[in-house]
Amino acid sequence: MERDRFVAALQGEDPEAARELVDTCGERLFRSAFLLCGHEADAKDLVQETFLQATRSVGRFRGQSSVYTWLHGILLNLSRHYHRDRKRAVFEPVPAESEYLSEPAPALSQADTDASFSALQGALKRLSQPHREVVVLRYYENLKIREIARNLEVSEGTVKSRLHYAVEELQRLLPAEMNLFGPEGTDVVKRE
Amino acid sequence: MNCQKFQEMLFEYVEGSIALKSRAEADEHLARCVEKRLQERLNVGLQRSVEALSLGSQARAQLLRTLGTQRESCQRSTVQLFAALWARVAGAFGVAAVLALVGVWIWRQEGTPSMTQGPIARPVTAESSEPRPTIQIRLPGIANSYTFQQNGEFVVDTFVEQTNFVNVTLWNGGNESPQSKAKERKMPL
Repeated sequence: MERDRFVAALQGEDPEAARELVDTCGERLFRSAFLLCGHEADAKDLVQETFLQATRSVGRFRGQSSVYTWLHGILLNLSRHYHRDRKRAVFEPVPAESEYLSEPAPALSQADTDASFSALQGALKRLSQPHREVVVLRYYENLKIREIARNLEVSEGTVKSRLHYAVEELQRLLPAEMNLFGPEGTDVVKRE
Repeated sequence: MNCQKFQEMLFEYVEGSIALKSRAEADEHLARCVEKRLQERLNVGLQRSVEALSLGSQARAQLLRTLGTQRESCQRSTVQLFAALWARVAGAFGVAAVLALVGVWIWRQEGTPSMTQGPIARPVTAESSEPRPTIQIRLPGIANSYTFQQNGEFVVDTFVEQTNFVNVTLWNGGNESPQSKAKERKMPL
């Protein structure tokens, strides 16, 4: 989306551009927000607030990054406020680690695959907020280490360290059949 | 090195019989490959874990409403801002305007006094019986003196503050001055 069109959309001057903006960025932001905060309703609120903030500060958008990247930067800030305000360290109860480890490797049915995804979501929710942030930015948004460091205003070393510990923690929390480094891993997804 | 080449020399790599240069390349590939595989797996996993999620028509409509009403709310907020600002300063503006009008009226009535001889202390009388308007004022002047005097073993210091008044008569120009006293100073308005 071009800068002028984006600005017109945010300023309410071009309804068609507004629809395009919501179509191209709304869903993606919502999913990212969900991964960052762990609640569907709160994720919707975060997206709503992101667009509201964007309309207020659209004058600061210089077009140096993509529209989505700029919006996602706002979302990231809001999600940090969200965590600070609500102090939610653990979002939802997830099955205990022993439940995963004691289970035998299941067959690859659709239900099991869904369970794997929800296990991944559950494991993500159990990460601390800084660790969850870097995982989402690196592995969902596919940002480079340098870009993550700039977004989070930390050093690249800090990002690498957080990623290392976050992946270790995920590995510990995920069921054995979802071993991230093993031959199976989340490849179950690709086999469908 | 790519994955295929690595697999070709996997046996030598595990056995340790691989050349040093190839080992370094294999190590580098392995590290990169693990990270890449991890990234791919987590990326796919995360994408698939949220792909069923949808913003929903209600939230989409709300977003569009937010964007659609933005212009109106911007304009409204600007008007509200000015209204609030005006409500704050209107009282002060009113008082200032009244004071300015009173000041102008007084100035038009009496004219501006000359300040060349220092501040005017207090108008005493305005002799309306004179053919030209005359104003008498008193100008205060303070004179301080500090004296030392030897008195036996002691030194006595004395501080004296003396206030002198000078009567000044102001009249409205012309060669003829009204009758004045000895100490009066005369200056045209």
